[in-house]
Amino acid sequence: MINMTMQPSKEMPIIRKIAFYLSFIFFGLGNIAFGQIIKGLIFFALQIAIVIFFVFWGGQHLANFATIGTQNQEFIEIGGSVVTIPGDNSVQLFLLGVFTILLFPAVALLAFVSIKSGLVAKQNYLKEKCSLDFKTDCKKLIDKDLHKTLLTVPFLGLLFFTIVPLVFMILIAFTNFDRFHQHPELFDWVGFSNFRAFFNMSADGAQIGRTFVRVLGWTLIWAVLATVTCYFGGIFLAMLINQKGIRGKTFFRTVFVITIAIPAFITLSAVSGMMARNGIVNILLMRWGFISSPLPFFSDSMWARVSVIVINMWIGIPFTMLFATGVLQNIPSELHESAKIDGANAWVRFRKIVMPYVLFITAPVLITQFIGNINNFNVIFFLTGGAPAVSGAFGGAGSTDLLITWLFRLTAEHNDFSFASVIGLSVFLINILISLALFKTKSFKDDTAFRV
Amino acid sequence: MIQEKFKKNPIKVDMRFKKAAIIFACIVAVSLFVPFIASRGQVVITIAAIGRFMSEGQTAGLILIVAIIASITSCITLVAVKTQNILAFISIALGIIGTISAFVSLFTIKTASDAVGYLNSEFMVFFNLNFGWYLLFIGSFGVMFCSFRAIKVKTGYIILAVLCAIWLIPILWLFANSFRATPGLFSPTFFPRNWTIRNYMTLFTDSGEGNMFNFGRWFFNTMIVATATMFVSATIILSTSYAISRTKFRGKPFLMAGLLIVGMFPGFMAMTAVYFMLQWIGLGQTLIALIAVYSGSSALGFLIVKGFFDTLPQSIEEAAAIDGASKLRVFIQIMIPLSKPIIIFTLLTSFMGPWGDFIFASFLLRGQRDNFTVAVGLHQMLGDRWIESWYTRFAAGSILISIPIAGLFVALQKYYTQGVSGAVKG
Repeated sequence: MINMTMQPSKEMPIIRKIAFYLSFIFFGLGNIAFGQIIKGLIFFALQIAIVIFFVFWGGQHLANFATIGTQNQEFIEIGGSVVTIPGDNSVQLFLLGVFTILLFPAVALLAFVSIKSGLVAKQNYLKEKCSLDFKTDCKKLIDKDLHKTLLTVPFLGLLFFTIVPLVFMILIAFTNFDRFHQHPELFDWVGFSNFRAFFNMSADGAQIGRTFVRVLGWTLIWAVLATVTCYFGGIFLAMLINQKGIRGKTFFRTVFVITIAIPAFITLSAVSGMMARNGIVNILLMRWGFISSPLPFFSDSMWARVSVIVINMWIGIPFTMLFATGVLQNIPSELHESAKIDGANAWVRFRKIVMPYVLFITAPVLITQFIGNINNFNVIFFLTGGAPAVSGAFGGAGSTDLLITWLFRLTAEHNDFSFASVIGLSVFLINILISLALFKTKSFKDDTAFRV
Repeated sequence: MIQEKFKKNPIKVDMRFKKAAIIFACIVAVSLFVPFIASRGQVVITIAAIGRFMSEGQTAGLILIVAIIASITSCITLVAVKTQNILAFISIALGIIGTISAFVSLFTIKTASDAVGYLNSEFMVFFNLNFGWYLLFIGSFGVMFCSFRAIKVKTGYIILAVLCAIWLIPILWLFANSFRATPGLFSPTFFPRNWTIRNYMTLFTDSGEGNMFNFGRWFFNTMIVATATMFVSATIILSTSYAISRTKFRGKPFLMAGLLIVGMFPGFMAMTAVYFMLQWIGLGQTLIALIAVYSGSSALGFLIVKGFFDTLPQSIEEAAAIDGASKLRVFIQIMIPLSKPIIIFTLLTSFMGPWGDFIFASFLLRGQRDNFTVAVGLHQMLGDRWIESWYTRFAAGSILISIPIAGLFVALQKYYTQGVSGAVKG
């Protein structure tokens, strides 16, 4: 541990002492003072670059970020022809603003790293009476500091493709960046009015609140039913295949695994085609005389909801089967044998031994699957596309639309980015609440997977 | 060894189920003399109906006769056997044939009855079908069930067979449709009447009006994106997980919690901003953008691989450190070779993600047809305007992109199972 209160020893030249304290203002001076010239210069160069950025551009970006553009696109007639004067581009100004804001934590990090590095250099100087050279410092990156090397690229990837975009989108929730405010139109800060719209349950207007409650309700019902059916179905299937005396276990497993192997959009589109109004299922049933008119698999609200849950079993059961197989094989066989001797039949053994054991082990997976189902885009999008439509719904949310497909619809079809962002945040909130439940389950606490 | 043991202690046939089988066979026999079809006051018993069907040359008659004979013979064979031998398995086979025939006859009865003039109205809708068929089906199923149980073969096979059929039907249908000569979604039969391989050929030769559907190009794009993503994101996932699992640094719990929390946001939410950013630096709608997006946030999937690294023994590292190996060398030369299963798992899942992804690709490539991946492109063929002329080619394209991925997956199934079971510590 670095001792922050350590005093510089008496034999240290005063110039070094001053330089060290100055490093709180001029990054890297501490390193330079104790002989780490290259490292110190790198810190200093970075600081200069940031200062120059803020002086020349950063301030302007921040000012623009506060207004997100004021200059509308204008048309001026000059000598009979119309000339377009481009206005501000709100999206670009917003993006620059987000980047500039994110530079503040970066500066703080740089300050922390450079001061700490100066401290290390000072301690080393006091102890060894010589300075750490740049080469040794670099060598540490493949040994003691390996984590820095390993985590740099993943961190940059996350920063640019997840963190910056998420900050951008979260802030968009507080603007009116919707279908009416696309470039060249400007958009503006609106505070919490988007969130208020989601709590407005009155029947008039855009019906955002009503649509949201309906979609949220169905999302939760769907997630519960889809998770429960696939979970128990998968365990049942795994037990069926794992029975003693069933031969060709690998063959059966492979058959079911094929549905995981083939991309979901293909199999789901195929099933959707089969069960369409003029699809093969309706045609054959009609020809064989079981029905006189096509069954409304995806065109009636109730039918569509039941259909997607049933078809989702077809996709989800093999996955549960795969990991349940491993769990079932690990049930101590003594448990079964002693239960048999005590006269417990298969059902009792299932209820009193298998289920408690499997539930205990797989509770975390059950909850991850629940979250996965809340975000299950593929099944809904490729089977029903959200249909059947509900009249007057905001953003065209149909009766099988989940929050995630509604989010996709608002983003990709309607350009209602601000509302989409609020929906994204609510999905995040739901996921977080469920994950907190995950941390509370006993098996997760005992599980070594979360060992730090 | 096992053979000898088998001969010394032959598995005896369970008598209780023999008796039950006889009862079920009687039900089959009774079903011949109860009303089979009831239509407008006209009641026909099963045996008479079969007679009419046969004399008119309807297949329904033949199928019903097979069902009855197979079930009764199965019962007789079962009564004759005492131990598990070949004759016993013939009994099971006959039972299966009887049940399947009885079930299949349901789909032919309407056509046959219409042809011989018994029915001229709806069939199941008004319950024109009478006891005869139900008794026949229950009886033949009972005989099959009893022969399974009596000979002590797991009845699980029956359920597994039915489930396998259910799971394979959509895939089989897609496969059959890719060879159908008539275009469009509509097909009067499950298997096409006219087979052709033209769908596969035109997929590569004819890209539709205005070069709308350039499947060859899409296939190539998908291959590039999936392969590049596989390498980049596997590297990212492995190094993140290794750093979290096996190096010591301050702020690790904070980093892990941060990754888990960021992972709670719906991934698509960030896409709007990513799209604008990529557009801005001139990379919008390109394959590089797609690869960057797929790989960029792959570190979020660190948990399973970390779980694997946690299980590797600590002593290896210590021994290597004493020998003077740097941590990087330990990682590359010792840990990586020990982690073959999880590396294959990571590569496989990283490859399959982009191969089947629709949501990110469709949004980021927005209308840039030349850069489409197969998922986005094939989905276009199902649009209202195109489905009538492109459905069978959609099926052919689907089969083409499923074969490599399914083959790869089935071959590496073992590693995949290990990976997902690793997430659940059993």
